[in-house]
Amino acid sequence: MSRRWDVVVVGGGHDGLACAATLARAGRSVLVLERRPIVGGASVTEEIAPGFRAPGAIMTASQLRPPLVRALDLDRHGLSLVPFRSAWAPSPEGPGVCLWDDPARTREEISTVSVRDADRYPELVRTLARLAAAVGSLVDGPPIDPVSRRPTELVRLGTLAHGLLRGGDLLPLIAVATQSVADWLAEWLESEILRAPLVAMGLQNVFLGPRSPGTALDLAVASLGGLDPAGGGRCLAIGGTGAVADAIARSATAAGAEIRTHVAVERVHVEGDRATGVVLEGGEVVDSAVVVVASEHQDGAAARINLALDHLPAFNGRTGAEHLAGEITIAPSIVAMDEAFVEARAGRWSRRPMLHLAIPTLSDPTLAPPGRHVMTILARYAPHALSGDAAQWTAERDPFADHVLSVIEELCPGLTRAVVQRQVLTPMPLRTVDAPKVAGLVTWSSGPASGIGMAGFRRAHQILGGAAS
Amino acid sequence: MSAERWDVIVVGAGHNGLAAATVLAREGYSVLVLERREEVGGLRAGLTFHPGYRHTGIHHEAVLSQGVVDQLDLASHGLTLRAPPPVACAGGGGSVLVEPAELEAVGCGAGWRHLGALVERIAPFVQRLVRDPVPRLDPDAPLWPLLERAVALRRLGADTLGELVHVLGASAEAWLLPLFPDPRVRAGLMLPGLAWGYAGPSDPRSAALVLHQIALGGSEVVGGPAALVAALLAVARARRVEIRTGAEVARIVVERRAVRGVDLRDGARIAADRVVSAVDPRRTLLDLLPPLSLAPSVEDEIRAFRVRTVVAKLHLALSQPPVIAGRTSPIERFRVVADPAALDRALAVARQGWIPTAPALDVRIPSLADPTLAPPGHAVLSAIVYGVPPAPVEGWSRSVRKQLVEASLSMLAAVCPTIADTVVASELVVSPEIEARYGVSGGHPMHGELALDQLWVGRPGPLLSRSRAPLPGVFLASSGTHPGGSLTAASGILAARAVLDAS
Repeated sequence: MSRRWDVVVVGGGHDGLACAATLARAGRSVLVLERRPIVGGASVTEEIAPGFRAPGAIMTASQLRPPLVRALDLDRHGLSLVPFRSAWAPSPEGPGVCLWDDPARTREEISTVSVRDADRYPELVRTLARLAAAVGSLVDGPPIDPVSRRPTELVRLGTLAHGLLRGGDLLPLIAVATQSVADWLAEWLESEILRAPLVAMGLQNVFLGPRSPGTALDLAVASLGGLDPAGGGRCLAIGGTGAVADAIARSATAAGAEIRTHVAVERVHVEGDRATGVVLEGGEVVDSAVVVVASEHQDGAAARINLALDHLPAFNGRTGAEHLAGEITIAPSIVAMDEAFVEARAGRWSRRPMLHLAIPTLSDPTLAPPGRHVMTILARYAPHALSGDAAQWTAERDPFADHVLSVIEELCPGLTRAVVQRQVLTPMPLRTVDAPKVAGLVTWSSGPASGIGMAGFRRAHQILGGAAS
Repeated sequence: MSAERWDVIVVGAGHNGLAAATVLAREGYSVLVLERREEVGGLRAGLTFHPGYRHTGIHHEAVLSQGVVDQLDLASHGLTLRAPPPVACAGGGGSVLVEPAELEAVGCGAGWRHLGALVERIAPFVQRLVRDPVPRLDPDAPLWPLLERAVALRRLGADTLGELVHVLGASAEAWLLPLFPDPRVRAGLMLPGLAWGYAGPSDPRSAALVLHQIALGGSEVVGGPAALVAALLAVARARRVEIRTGAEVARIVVERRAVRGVDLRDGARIAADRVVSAVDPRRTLLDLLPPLSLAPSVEDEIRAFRVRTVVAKLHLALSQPPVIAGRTSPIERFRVVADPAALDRALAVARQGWIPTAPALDVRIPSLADPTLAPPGHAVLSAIVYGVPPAPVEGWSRSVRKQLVEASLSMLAAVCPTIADTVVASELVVSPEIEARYGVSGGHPMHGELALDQLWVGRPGPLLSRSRAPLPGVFLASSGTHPGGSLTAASGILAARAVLDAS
């Protein structure tokens, strides 16, 4: 093949696709090469049992950032989002606390555990929204290099710092960037019933504990779509998270990008001090001016479990299904989460895990046969690197999943009996891109916390700005 | 009404209170220092803990910067500085002295030189950071002081700045592992930086605390804490500061939002227009000021200032100085911890409310430099015990205390095999006792956790870190206020400067 591309993107996950779509829409000729039969990487929807479909590594679309949706015109390319209307933390005793998309209703709920917290909660939501906006301005643009002496970078850094100072966001940002999520929230809320699930939310994307300094910032990042359902940004994609990747892929191909699946890349082709393309397995060479290696990164500490259910199970404490349609968080006490983290760091999965659950079929019935349901679970901590004799996830996969189900079963008697089929996605290793530092080669190693596709989106803007030449 | 009237009343005769008093007296103010206890020196006041054996205070180190010595004119009152004796890192078999030859032998020579060079390059910047008041960072803050600091930061150069950015986010272990392959050395270097916080070697942002502590190290006072207190007392008296011990301030008197003086516990009122409190900021604002005198935002800020501590103090009376296995003579300073993971574990256990089986120890044998602290031939060992629950699940019962002492002794015995047979007496001082004895909130020897968010603008918080309480005439001089922590006398000097600026 003699064609020379402007950009070859290795890896058709959401980041590779977002990078390709952004570049293609800017008029570059782009080729995406994906090893697997489907694109999407961590953002996929796969069949887990006949008629049941469930999301892959990424569970919801809450981390999809509006700037990406707008820039790639994802609405027009078939993306349809359904906001969660509730966020419920069930409790072994009583009905637990449920946050709603209606602040008045949320207030009423919180008043049942603490009137003081109910008074302070709206201010907490506003503060986090401000912090999230400030953080968002950082994660939505091209990355800033604080050490660079380039005048353009200095101006960007100065403008940013000045904006944060004058906007009154600098001090709160310094505080969250240095404080642990447990300490930060303790300043706001007295009730641990309310606090523990919010702490768990802050830790959702990181392999850190409730007492780890700086995790307050992770809560701000996690609440980019709003701390609770009233923010409107916490949502599911109709068709599962695979639909997000599909919409990005359609946006790319509509702009002229070519996507090839089932193609494995052997290595980046380097001539002198420049990347000039890639070599495929089998020896074929693809020429390009810029090579993007878009491998995805997991945090290495979470497992995903998908359940096909033959009926909707009932949780203790509340009747009806309204509270089940949103996000459900099962978080033990902060002391227990701290202990779990310390254990996980030592290579053991948590006996008292933090669980984030959703039953997407309550919002999107197309994912299962009529009357049937899918429950999808993010379980932490499940460290990728296990220690001791049972050091293999192949051996620990089922004991861990059984344990997670037994934890949910305590709050939701009968769950296990309703399970038709289960899928366990064990934690992925932290992969780092091992690539030579040459001109024309772009890699990244950002975690999932910055948002679906955002790493690719930001790098694309850097490439357009001439960073790779 | 009382006839007694002063320009300034300083509450608390620790190093910060005495320093503030001295600076103000030198400027011509009449200054009265009121100390609740019978002795001056605060947490650096020595005490006989067993007949014939005396320790040198909760803080057994007396680190002081040349700048403070010059500002207070301490040299002319007999104070001299010296390089601290090298510290030995022991634990997990054998020991390494932190000095070039021994570090080289365990593969840590290059790392030590790298760290030394980094500290030297950032020294001017760090010294300014801690010597100057915190700049304003509120939306109406003037830009010039911030720009000046940004430029100073840039001047460090791309490599140094790059390393600082890395250190600011990294865990202590991630930062030091490539520099110091020997785990004892790594853990020993980390311990003093992490001891006063709630984050371990594997926690993000902990590297900055270690660098902070190392960069601010410097020289120590010849003669230790006792000589430091004696010199501070001498210079204060030479400036005609009056110091009254056994005089507990019950409250700061405020009338029509202006300070009128203080009321003593015995009922006496002493008038002054300015009160400088070297009592920790939490107690100053919440207990000494009249109720409802703070705006809700200030009260929230000070209530959020964390004062939990994971250390206790252990004092041992020994019939002979302990010798580390493999060495021929006693070492004045040593740290007992096998590796950074042991620090993580001790902290994790303490955070759960339990006594760790392997606490880490930061040890000093003050009787080697000052033989008068113990009977002839005998010794006093002073240890900061790391990995102590702020609130043990079982409370501070006799058996819990015994468990902690025994765990500490077995750690010591692993390093100094003969020590067990030489223990004459022991004293364990845990945080509730430090709180009761010295009147510091939470019994935290640094007047508040040394965490990254509780330094600089966070010490004790954005509204309070500039040495002024939000009430005209009340100033904060404790080490719970910027720069605080291990910086001897620096918070007191800044508070005195704030008084002068306000006049």
